[in-house]
Amino acid sequence: MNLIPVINVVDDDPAVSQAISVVARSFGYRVALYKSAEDFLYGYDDTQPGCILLDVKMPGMSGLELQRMLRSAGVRLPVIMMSGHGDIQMAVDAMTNGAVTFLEKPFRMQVLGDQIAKAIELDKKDRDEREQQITAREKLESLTDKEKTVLIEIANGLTNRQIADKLNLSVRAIEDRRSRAMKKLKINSIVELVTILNLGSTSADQNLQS
Amino acid sequence: MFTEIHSGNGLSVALHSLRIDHFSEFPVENPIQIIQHYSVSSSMYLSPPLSMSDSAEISHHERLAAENAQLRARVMDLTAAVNRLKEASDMYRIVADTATDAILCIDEENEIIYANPSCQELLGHCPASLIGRPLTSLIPEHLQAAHETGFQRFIQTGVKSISWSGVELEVLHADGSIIPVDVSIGSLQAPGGQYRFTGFLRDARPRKRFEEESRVRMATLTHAERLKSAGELAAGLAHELNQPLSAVCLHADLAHQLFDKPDQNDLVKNSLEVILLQSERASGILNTLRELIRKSEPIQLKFSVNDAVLAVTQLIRAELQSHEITLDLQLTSEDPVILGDRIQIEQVVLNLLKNAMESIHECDSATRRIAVRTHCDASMLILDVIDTGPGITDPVEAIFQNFVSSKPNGLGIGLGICQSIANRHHGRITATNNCQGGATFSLHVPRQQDTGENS
Repeated sequence: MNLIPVINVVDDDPAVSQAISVVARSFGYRVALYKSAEDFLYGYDDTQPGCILLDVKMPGMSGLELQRMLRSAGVRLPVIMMSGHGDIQMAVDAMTNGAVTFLEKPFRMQVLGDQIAKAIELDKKDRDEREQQITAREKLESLTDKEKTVLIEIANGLTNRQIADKLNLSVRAIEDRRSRAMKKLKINSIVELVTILNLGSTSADQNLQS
Repeated sequence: MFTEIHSGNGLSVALHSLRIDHFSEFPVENPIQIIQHYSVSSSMYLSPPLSMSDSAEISHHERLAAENAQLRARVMDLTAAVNRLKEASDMYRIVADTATDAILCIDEENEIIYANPSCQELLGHCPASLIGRPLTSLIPEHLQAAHETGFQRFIQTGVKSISWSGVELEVLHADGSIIPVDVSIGSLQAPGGQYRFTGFLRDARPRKRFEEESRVRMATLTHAERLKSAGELAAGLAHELNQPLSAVCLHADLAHQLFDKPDQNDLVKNSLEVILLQSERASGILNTLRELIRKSEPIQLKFSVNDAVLAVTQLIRAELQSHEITLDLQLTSEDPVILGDRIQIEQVVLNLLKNAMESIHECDSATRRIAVRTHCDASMLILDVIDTGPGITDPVEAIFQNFVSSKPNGLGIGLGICQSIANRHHGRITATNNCQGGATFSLHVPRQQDTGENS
């Protein structure tokens, strides 16, 4: 996978998208240009890291409509909204829908660079998090149900004795299961255990499929 | 004692005739004589029976009585006729005296023979003082020669040199000022062949004032309508303008940053070119807007209607796109040159386009298309704006009246003003429903045969 982020520019005005393209490439990014929301829907690739620069006012589907559609389709690329005639309601709508920011045209190169960097940072964080979640879930799936039960009670703050009483087992049995499970998960501390349980139970990818 | 009387009708005739003395104006015979005559003869009636000579006298009396009756009837007719004439004459005098227009009558010598009281008001002269003076004394110097010539020509040939009904002329007031008047002239030829002329002079100043007010009002309305359209277009224009400005802004920053990097010269150069191009684009948009909102007196210039259409469609492009309406331009390849105010014609085109757009938008048509077509016939240039909306539902005459609007928020002054702009260009706007749905509004304006000069 190419790790250089792709800036997806969706704007019907070629002068604007060309300018953004030149500037973004000068920042070292890759650029993909789309002249309408429909074009983007046909051609986008969200496996590549990056963000979307989206013009509000376009013939056909508007930028705000595309943003809502992508959100409900689980496309998680951060969106920077751009408008040549922004009003407050438009900006509020865009931000409510999860836009990183709302840029009013015309904007300076530095502002664009900062916002792109911010969006890419968010994208990277999001991708890393999803990566960790997947890893955590894979690890948790290697445990048996008995091991998992013990680990959950430990995370809940119970001692080995308390767990043994609750499950009607010997303390020794609990200690056995606990050390086997910790070894499978390759962790040593309870803090690490809580983190991996949290990661494994968050449903980011389920969001993606809903 | 009157038995004998019954044997003849002499007395009844006499008594009957006696009443004639009531008619003091009896013109033919002296009634006193008649009475004396009958007094004598009536005593004879009371005397012995009638003799032959008596009956001869009676028949003479009877004849006289019959003649008298005829004369009397004629006198009554004449008296009635005189009264009728007097009544008619009084009536005309009252009409002339009460008229608020000044009325002057002149004879063939150009001398005033009648002036009504309103002459005092309009001309500053006492009517009586005008009688006998030449009409020329009431005509401003620069019109005198023309008046003399026209007057003589009419008397000699019967040919009128000016319109005689409601023509605008000028008169000289007693105080030396010149007053515009609307004049209507009548003539009659007396039995002797001599002409008499009557002129009605109405002060044209109130009319001119009213016309000026209407003109100013119309200019203000047109201006207001332009501003309104401009306001509605502001959002679209902001978008239009900010597109080139975005490109300019980014390229300027980039060029600035790469300026001292020799290996990036090509990029800098490209950026500068883009900046120039996009600045021109922005300036073009602004020019179009400025022309549209400028308030101006009607201008008479030759211009191509195709150019006007292109300028307007450039302005409205963003709005059409946001309504998802396709614009289909079918512009004639003949050069459709007309004479007039280009901005006003653009205003008309813009209004027709906006109407078309709104009608399509409101009914949510499946086909969203506006065609603008220009074509020429021998003398007229015709511009059609054809939409795919619901068509015209109001009576066609009504939609051109000011303040009639089918739009819930419309002021409805658009089409009325468009029509008056078309009229000022000696043209008109017509509206029809298309057989395949939608409406067509057509602007018809006289063509100018382009002679190459652009004055």
